[in-house]
Amino acid sequence: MAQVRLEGVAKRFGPVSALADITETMADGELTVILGPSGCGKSTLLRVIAGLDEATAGRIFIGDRDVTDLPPAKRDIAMVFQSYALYPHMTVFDNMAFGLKLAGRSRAAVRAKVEEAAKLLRIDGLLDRKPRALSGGQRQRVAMGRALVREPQVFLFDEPLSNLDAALRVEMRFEIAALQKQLGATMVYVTHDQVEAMTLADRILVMRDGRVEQSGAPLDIYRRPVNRFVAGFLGTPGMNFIDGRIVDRGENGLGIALGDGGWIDLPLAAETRLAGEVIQVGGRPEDLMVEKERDDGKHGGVRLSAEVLLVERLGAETHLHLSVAGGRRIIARVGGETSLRQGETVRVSASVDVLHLFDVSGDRIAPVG
Amino acid sequence: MRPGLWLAVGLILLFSLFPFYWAIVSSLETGTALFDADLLPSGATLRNYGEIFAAQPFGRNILNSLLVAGGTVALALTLAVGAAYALGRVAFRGRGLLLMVILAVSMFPQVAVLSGLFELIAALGLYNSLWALIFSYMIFTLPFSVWVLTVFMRDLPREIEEAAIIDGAGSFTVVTRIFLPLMAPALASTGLLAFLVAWNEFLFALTFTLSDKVRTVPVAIALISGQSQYEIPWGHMMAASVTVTLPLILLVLLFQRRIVSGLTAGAVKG
Ligand SMILES: Nc1ncnc2c1ncn2[C@@H]1O[C@H](COP(=O)(O)OP(=O)(O)OP(=O)(O)O)[C@@H](O)[C@H]1O
Ligand SMILES: [Mg+2]
Repeated sequence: MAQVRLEGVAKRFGPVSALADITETMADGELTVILGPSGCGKSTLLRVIAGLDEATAGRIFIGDRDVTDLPPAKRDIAMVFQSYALYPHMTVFDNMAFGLKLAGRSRAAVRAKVEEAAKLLRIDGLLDRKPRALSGGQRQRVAMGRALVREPQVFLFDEPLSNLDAALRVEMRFEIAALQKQLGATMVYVTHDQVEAMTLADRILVMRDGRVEQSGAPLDIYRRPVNRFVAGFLGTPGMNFIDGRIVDRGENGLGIALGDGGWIDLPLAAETRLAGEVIQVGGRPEDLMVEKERDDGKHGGVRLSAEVLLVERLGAETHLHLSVAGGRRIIARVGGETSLRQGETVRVSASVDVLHLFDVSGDRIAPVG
Repeated sequence: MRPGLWLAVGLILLFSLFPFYWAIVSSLETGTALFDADLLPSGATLRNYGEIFAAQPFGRNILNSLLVAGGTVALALTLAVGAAYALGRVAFRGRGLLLMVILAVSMFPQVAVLSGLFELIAALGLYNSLWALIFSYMIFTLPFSVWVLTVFMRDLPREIEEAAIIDGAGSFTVVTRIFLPLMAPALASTGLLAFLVAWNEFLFALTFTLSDKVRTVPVAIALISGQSQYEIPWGHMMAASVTVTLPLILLVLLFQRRIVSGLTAGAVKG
């Protein structure tokens, strides 16, 4: 196994820039997920690593080797495609054996390798079938088996589960994770499904428009998104954003005036240089607390009133769609059930340290020390 | 509607099959019986069939036709598969123009190229040989073979090719081990069409060959002579025609499903 290192990798398709100056390391033995919206360049990045597309600039290293100018077969990688790309006219056995045979391995060695991989993936009963006689999940396994038998340094997956139904996706996700741990394999995994990303990844690269916006452990990215895009991209329902402005109240420290009459106290340690800045406040649905409006004068740090538009009861949790004064809609997620009803006026609050602040250009700002 | 449809089908069948039926009937008759307009043969005999093989080198002609048609198919498909891979899967400048030029080649009338081709064949020393025919038949067979196979090849999923490349396959292996098996229907249909064209071709075969030994069937049939120059040996000609048509019909029936699926696969997806 080996790490993958990208140094200033860029890719253009004529006038279109699909990847711009990407410098990242995908660590040995880790599963790195490349996450991002459609068209952001995830597949292109994977294909550049595989050698199916040639990088316009930059160098690619697998282990200690510079593979930038090597053809795909020499890079010691294996790839699993979204469409599986099985050879339709070959049996499962031949599909898995094709690469080994081309590499000139002996018949016995090929057979042993294929059977071992088939057993691991529990497709050893299907070796004589043609792909068209397999279910989606079975094809998926064959595609993985074809990658496995090559014993590559790096596995590349391009949305391998997106053609499966929801239940099967969960199962295969679990199996890929188990396989990765068992083999200690280096895997690069492309998806636009954030649940897959959060559950599988040791490390996530969030991409937008051909650039890596943020990379890190899944929960770090979730808790400390570096900008508004990353903040909004991770999590369902997504993060809520409300416009506001930082106000200096002298002795009483800083606070945020929300556009529509709401107020957030900032801790006293907040930097006064931020005063006057126009910002966006982000809060995850699960971090918001919603209570019936009480006129007892106590509001804690956050004061925001809202009207309940819709109550979605999912059993284990409830999603409250709220309209804050000014008409902006936000979603709060509360555990279990709630007695709140549509049309009620409620008070929304949150602990200040779980809120996210972004400046006008969308970058995270840290108001505290 | 229904009876009208069946009537139309019946008429078409009659129109297209009657000449062939008439040929069979005539081939079984001899002498003056040929000139009676009977729907059923009077005094049917296989004598004509025996005579064409005895009096002429007709067996040799059939063998020539088989060699020419088979050689044409083999050469045309080999070249067309290579061309189709380049035109269908490799991006290069002027690809569209090249495809158009290839199509344009098939639009010249045969006579227009006849004299030029004759010079060329003579210069290459191929005159009066089967190679002359195989060579010249590329004019008809290559353009449509290249087109059909290019369209088919273009529509094969790119990821399958890429999977093979990652597995370590070069272009040649991709074509022979991955694409060719997937293209079997397209190959069968284009191959069969090429075979038919080569089997039936007359003008080039007449022009580029001289001796009986290298003549193909259509020319041989046209040149079958009677006892005197005033007698046209209809019986022999019909027997020869039937002899060379039956295998074709069998061949088409055999490949029928592949032809249809091959042609539509290329057409619908393109
Ligand atoms: N062969 C190509 N020629 C021209 N442009 C291309 C080519 N391949 C990709 N692109 C462009 O590069 C950008 C990135 O494409 P890519 O396929 O990497 O996106 P992606 O993140 O994988 O999207 P998705 O989630 O939809 O698969 C897109 O704008 C796309 O249009
Ligand atoms: Mg993609």
